[in-house]
Amino acid sequence: MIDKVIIIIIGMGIVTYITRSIMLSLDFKITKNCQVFLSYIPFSILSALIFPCILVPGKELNTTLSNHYLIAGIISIFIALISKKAVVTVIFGVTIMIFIKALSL
Amino acid sequence: MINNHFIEGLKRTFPLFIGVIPFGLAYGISAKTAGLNLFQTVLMSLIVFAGAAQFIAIEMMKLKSWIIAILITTLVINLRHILMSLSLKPFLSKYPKMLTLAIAFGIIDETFAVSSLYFTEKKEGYISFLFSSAVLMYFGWVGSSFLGYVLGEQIQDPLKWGLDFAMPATFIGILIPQVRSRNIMNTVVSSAITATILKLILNNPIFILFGAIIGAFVGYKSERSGL
Repeated sequence: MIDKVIIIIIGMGIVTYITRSIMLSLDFKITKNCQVFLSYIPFSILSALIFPCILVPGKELNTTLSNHYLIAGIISIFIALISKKAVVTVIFGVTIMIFIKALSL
Repeated sequence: MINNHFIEGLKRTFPLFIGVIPFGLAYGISAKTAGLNLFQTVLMSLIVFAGAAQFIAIEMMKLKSWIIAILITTLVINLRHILMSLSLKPFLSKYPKMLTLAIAFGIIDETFAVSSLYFTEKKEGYISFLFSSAVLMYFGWVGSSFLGYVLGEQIQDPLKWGLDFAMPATFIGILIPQVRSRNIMNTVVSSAITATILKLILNNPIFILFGAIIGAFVGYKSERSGL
């Protein structure tokens, strides 16, 4: 008898794989208009991953100095603008985050 | 398969590999607390490979939710992958279908983020880049899930170290330098506003999908009409 947890895991695996593969398994032509729309998806997804994460770190909007993610996020944005390099942004961003956390303990 | 793009994939994914470790540790600890055994905990990471969905599934198992409810929640949370693989489709269409269906397993937020921008930059898709990126993230996720379970209570809240910031920081580092046109700017701003508001209202990771659709639509409109 397979336990309930294993059924859940396999079910989740199938559902998740379908969301990842369905568009690649179907054969269809992507229209010009759709291609323009899709060309903006990388930017919009990144934005949707970044900003809610730094503006709403928990369940509520926090735009005060007590929001470490927001402070480190804004500094990281400036570093990214100046350095134009992801590696530099991460190293500085994480260092600043650890520093802020250490200071506020 | 091992070429410059493969190496480049490893390089550009590395900060995200570091960034996923605290989340994997936290997942391992939370699965242990929920009463899963080591095999089940690691198996879920091996088979599902989706952070947000796994965290929520564990919470739902604790509450003794119905299996179907857990599966529907998983589907809703992971709907954004449909948009990601659709956006990668034009770049991958030159490869054999079986190969793209295999690589589809590795399409997660992190691998999509680095790959889609790399492909956009090069104006061409490279499956070896996506492959090396996915392999690295897979090792990071599965390995840290295992460690989280084994080390358990010995590690104090890994999401409070500050290392979890590696993920948003990398995303900032790859997105911000690419905001070179007004259309992209409009996309980024509208997606940020939509996603943030919906996160507050819905309290479910589906806000990423809605933010992404609205943002891309605004980008499209702004390119077409010159907003």
